[in-house]
Amino acid sequence: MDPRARLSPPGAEYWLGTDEQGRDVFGRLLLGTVVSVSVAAAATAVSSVLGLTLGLVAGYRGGTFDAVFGRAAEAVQAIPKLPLLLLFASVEPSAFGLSPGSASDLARIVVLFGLLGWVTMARVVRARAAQLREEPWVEAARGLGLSEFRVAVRHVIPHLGGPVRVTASLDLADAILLETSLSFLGLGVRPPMPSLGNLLSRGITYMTAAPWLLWAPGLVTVAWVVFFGWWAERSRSAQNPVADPVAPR
Amino acid sequence: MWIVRRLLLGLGLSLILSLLLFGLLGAMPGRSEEAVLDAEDPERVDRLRGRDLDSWTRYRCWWLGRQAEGCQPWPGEGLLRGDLGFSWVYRRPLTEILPGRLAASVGLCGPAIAAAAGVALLLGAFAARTGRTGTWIAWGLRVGSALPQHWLGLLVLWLGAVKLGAFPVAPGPEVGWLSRVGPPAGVLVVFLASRWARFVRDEAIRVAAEEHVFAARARGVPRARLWLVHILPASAIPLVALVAQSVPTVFSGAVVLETVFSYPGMGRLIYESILSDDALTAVTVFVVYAFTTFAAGALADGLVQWIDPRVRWGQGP
Repeated sequence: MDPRARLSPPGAEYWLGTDEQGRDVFGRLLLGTVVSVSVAAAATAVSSVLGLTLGLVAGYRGGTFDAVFGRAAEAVQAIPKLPLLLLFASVEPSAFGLSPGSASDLARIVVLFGLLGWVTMARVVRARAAQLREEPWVEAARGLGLSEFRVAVRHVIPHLGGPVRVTASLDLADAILLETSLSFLGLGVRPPMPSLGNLLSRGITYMTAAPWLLWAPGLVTVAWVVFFGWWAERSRSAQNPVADPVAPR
Repeated sequence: MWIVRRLLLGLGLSLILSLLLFGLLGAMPGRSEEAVLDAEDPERVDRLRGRDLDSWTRYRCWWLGRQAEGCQPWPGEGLLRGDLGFSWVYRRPLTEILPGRLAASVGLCGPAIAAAAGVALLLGAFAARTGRTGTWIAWGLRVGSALPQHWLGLLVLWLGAVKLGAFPVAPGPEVGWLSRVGPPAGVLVVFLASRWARFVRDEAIRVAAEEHVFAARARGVPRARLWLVHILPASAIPLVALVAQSVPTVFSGAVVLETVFSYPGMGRLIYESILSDDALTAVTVFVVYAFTTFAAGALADGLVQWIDPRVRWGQGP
């Protein structure tokens, strides 16, 4: 950091230039990437576990739970997420006995993304679990007198791996995008802690004087989202090469 | 009637959301510059905004208005009398502002959805081609669906408004429709079309392998006609279902774009109200926004059913 070298363009000393306080953009960007990607990963972990559990019970058990699950999934999916997250973001953590600060910001994002983002995973798992329920080895395991819980955990869950991996990496890509939008609007990860979103929103002020402040975080975000999307595509076609046939002509 | 059921479900969900958010309202910041300026009676603003009431009373007042017991300084006649409250940002009753804002948001999302579906169909068809063209388009679509909407919005503003001067940065009502709606809708189209086109591509590849296409090729139907008549219409039906599902995503993304482009829609009203600590207005506008989203989703699903009668709401897998 060098207060005399404010807004200096990219060069040998500062690879991606400096920001309005003379901080190295490259360093801030590395830190921001770590923050954004880990927040998105944690959020995806929460939503995946939630989706896996709900989807498994709905698909494997069926019945009333499945019917309630269907309506709940529909309802959660129908909510415009970003404005709701904005509203939740304005809630003061002190009202719930939590101390305000970066840690509670991050925790809030992880929990809310998890609670709002489980639908796709749950639907994928539900569809697959409902198929697996009819498989002969599941019937055999049940015939051997294993408990329903044990059958579900030992004989159904191991067969869900593929679709779960694909859905999780797509969710991860979406979580990164959602985090950047939220932080961009100033209600996600808040400065001084950097994130891909809030670095970008600082860039607006110096859009013409220091365009690297706008380009760098945006390009890094795009690279991560493309990467996770590509990863999902790859693992999908690795699992099921037939589903991606070559077009005629 | 399924559409009535759908709207009732949406109404129920809006009710649950409003209850939940009113429970949290007490924890949202409410003081703002007026409270600071009015040093003689800092509590006055709190009273005016109904902040000294407990959550349940506040919710009751929101419905019943200032006539109800214990709601005397409440800023509105209550939802049951058709009064939504008062916006402190614009210093006008919400019922005066909301219709215009709602129309603006719908006027942004509607054309964007329609344009995106058309573009997706076209791009998806080309992406289904093998060889270099298909690969390039596929990568273009991957990148297009990864662009953060706020970032792309800023780049469009920077290029279009600052560098080229094609449209104003913050257009007022005197500017033409295209310069107001065009830029944010364009960004929305890039985002949606690149996601949908990948779906159309997979569908088109699947349809192209079907027997009716094979038969048409055997009859010597020319390639353009094969795609336009036999493949794309068949791929468009599942696309319409996907579009119907994406309505909440579109409305969600519009919040960012309305903010970036200073477009006077619902999303920006929510955002501005939160920033000026007017949590009550933000919650009210959100509930209306959420219900609009449900209604739009229901309408879109109705359209799907009309196009493809095999789809029946509530009986699917």
